Amino acid sequence: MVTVNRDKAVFYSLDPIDKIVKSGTFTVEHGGAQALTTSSIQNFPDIRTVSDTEANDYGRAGFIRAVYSIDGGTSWQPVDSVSFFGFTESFYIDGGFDSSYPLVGNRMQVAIGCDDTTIYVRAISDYFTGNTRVDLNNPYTVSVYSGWTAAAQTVLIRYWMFERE
Amino acid sequence: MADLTKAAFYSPLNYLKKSDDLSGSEAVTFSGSSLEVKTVTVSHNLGYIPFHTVAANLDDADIIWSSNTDPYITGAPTGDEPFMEYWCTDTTLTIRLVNSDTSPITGDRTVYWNIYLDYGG
Repeated sequence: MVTVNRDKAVFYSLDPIDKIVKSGTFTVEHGGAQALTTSSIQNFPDIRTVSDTEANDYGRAGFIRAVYSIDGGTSWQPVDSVSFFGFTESFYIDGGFDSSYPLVGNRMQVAIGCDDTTIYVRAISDYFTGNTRVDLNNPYTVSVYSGWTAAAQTVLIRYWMFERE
Repeated sequence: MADLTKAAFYSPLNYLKKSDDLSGSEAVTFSGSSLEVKTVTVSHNLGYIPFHTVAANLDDADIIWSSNTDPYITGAPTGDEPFMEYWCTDTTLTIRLVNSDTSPITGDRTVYWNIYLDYGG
């Protein structure tokens, strides 16, 4: 027997409520961190963005609520939450150990949006396994990263689109 | 054709009710200065902190992003979109678009919001 709270039973029909007009699930394969080399860094484990789309057959952009999973659908988390991972970075100068420190990376972060014709998702991650070693050698102009291996992962994104007003 | 199984309505549950007066959108214009912050303040005066939903077309296109993004997410190829943050008090909803980069942003961005009459208690 459900206890009825009459205060909560009040329903004023002129107040609109959300109507779900489209829902679905994206499956995005993300390859993990990607190596970045510039004039000052080499093989840095950089953020990679993987995008996907599907048709917005509702025909009008709305608001979207979403959750995502990085463990095959066992657990889900809000789309605004960021999954982190930790690693240790060790710094060497001219081959000699200098220091090490703990750092965190973005295991997964998700964005979702839409326009009148398309639903867009972006999965962002610099996930890798191992720890990073940074070598700075004479003439001390390039930091060389090593020790990390990009880690692929599958992210499931469930969404529900509702009218925005 | 209507799916009547989805029309079931159990009135003792507390449905999130909206108000036409508390939904809206507003365009802000980035002038091109670095580290620029644009703020939209919406008065609701409900006397409690309501549920709310916020979205924005962060990348100067028609895409309405519904997640609380940072610049990485809308990264390449444009790379310099603002990120969105928002918070609510008993009286107002404040939405900020923040250019956290020294690269200037120009053009209009539109923020959208829904403030619900309920807080789920």
